[in-house]
Amino acid sequence: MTATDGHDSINFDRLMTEINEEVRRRRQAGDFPPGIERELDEVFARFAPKKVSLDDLSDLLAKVEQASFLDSDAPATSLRKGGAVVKATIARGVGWYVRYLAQNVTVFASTVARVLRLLDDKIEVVNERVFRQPAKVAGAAATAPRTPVDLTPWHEFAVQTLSQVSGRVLHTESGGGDLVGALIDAGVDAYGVEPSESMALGSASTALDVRIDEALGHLRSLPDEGLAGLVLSGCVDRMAPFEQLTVAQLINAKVARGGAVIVIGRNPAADSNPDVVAADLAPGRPLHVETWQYLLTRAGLEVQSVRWDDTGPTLEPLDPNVSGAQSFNDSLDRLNRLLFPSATYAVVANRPRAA
Amino acid sequence: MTEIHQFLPVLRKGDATGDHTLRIREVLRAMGIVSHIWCQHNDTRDRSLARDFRDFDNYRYTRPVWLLYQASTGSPVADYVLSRPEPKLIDYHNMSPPQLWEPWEPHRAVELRMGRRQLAALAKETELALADSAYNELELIELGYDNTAVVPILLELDELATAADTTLLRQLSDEKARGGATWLFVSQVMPHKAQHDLIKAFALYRRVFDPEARLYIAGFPGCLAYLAALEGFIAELALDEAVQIHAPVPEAQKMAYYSAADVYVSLSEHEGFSVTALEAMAHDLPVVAYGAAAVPATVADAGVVLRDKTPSVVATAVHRVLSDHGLRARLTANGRRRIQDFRLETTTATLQELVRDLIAAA
Repeated sequence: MTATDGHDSINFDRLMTEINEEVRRRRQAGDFPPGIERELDEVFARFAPKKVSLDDLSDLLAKVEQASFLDSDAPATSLRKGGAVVKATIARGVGWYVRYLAQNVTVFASTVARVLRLLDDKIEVVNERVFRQPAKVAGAAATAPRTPVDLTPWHEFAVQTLSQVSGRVLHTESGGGDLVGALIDAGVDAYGVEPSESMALGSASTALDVRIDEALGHLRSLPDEGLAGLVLSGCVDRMAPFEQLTVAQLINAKVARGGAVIVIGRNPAADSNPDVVAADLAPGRPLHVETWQYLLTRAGLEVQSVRWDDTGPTLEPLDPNVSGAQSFNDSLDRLNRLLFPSATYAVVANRPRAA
Repeated sequence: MTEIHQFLPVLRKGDATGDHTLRIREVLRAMGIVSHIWCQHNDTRDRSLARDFRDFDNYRYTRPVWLLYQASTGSPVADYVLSRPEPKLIDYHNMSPPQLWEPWEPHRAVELRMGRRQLAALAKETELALADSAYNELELIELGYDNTAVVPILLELDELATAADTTLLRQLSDEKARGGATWLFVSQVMPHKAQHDLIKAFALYRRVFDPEARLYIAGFPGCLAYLAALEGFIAELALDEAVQIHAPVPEAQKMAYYSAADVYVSLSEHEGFSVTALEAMAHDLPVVAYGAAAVPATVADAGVVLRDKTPSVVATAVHRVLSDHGLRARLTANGRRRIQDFRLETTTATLQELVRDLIAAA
């Protein structure tokens, strides 16, 4: 049965599911290589103007300076017979007046351009200190060896949470694509993005739709309400605080109403990050679970639950039938949390159906 | 007897707003209403079609007068209309998001921001605001317009099939005879129409599904810097033979492209209505379109509306439409039904009724 079988009308939801399934099959077959979209973007970017940022303000100012000179000599050629003579006569007649005006406007415009240039010099100093130097550090963090967060304990939970949503589900950063694979096996229309080329290409060999991209950029590129579900892991532990704020806002924009979000973060109390170099150089730190709850709520989402990874070691509780076991086990529970904190947690939130 | 005068920044034939304005004038005149067009730039060859908007200062009238502003960008004409004491009407065709223009032509972004400010300022002064789609109407309501109505762009869809340029059509048929599917997108060549995304999707389509396929992009060159970038992009991807940009494209040649195409594909980032999707339907073309702004409402069930324009998804969707004959037949049948909703008689009647109510209430 397909989107058009046995019906007069077209089942567009089914049609889109079939199209997405074919995309996935063709990715598996290698027809659509993992980096192809980014490759095409990069080729076009070579012909598109750079987005104006503090980094290329100087180029823009050069254009302002160039445009601040007003040329008062209008071309006098004409396709009409005698037109050139008429134009030249007019130019001779009013040229002194036009030149006077042009000179005045040029003086004004070039003064403004000069002031802008001075401001740019000042901004350049601030830019270097505030943006470029931290960016170099962040770049070093991004290229430092990185172990993907072990999401195995979360597979079943993520599948259970997201198997009810209707539409595309994104996992970023998806690493080798294990969770994406688990979701697809459960019938979820899932794909992943992963900034590490080696990890993304590794997932291509297992025939998954994992694209080479980074979380914030990919989320920004999506249409509003384009996702039915979203899983965030890895990136959320390294982002600078302003990026973590941004990602919460992007979730609210890109996930459709009623859609589900799972943020899987490292528990700062567990001190379990094996990638010490990347962690030390990263612009941000893993957030406490309460902070993600706060950020998601602040962005307009409804936090549904918080789960802890319970696969670590624990001190075994007493048989509840033993006398005094209740109070002993309560104390043991507190002790377990102190001695063996969970390595990761998951915050599940929903985008409310009504505004 | 009443007078309704239309004001707009640029009057251009072959342009959705320009053609719509000219048709409105005919409708109003047929109702016995005195109506002239006043604009800043008359880009038609016929000087008699419009007057300079500043000359309205010297225009004398003794009958009740309304000024109808065709809003699609920022313009001194809007400020002029705003400054006039006559009661005002507007017809809103939407304005593209300024940020899509910013890297290419910053002054256009400034113009569009000005347009949004003017649109907001006109809200308090306007007796009736028309919008050519429900999407546009919603924007007007959000800006504070009280009295709004939807009147789709006045289109003569029935006449389209007869006007194709036969020489071009023959040439396109020869190209088609060499094999491969023909994609078409008709629109102004401008950044928010996202022809670059179309080229990306087409490049993948050729690579995976149909190495002989070709893409025609036809429309007025609205941004020369963007056009140059597209040409560079096409050359870099070695698609010179496969992708043709025809800009500007006279009306008869545009019709030839519609007649020669197999599928109409739009990945535009912003459409206040999407006239060309309807024109494609009138030529029995299946439509695959990215669901930006008013596109889903205009296309309805006559096209595959995508929520995601990732090149692989677009290429696969087009392949599906072209290879699934049942789907293609249903889409074109739906298209033929869909254009009935926009028949000139229907849209004209809606406009006439609103105008009669307006005059009666005055």
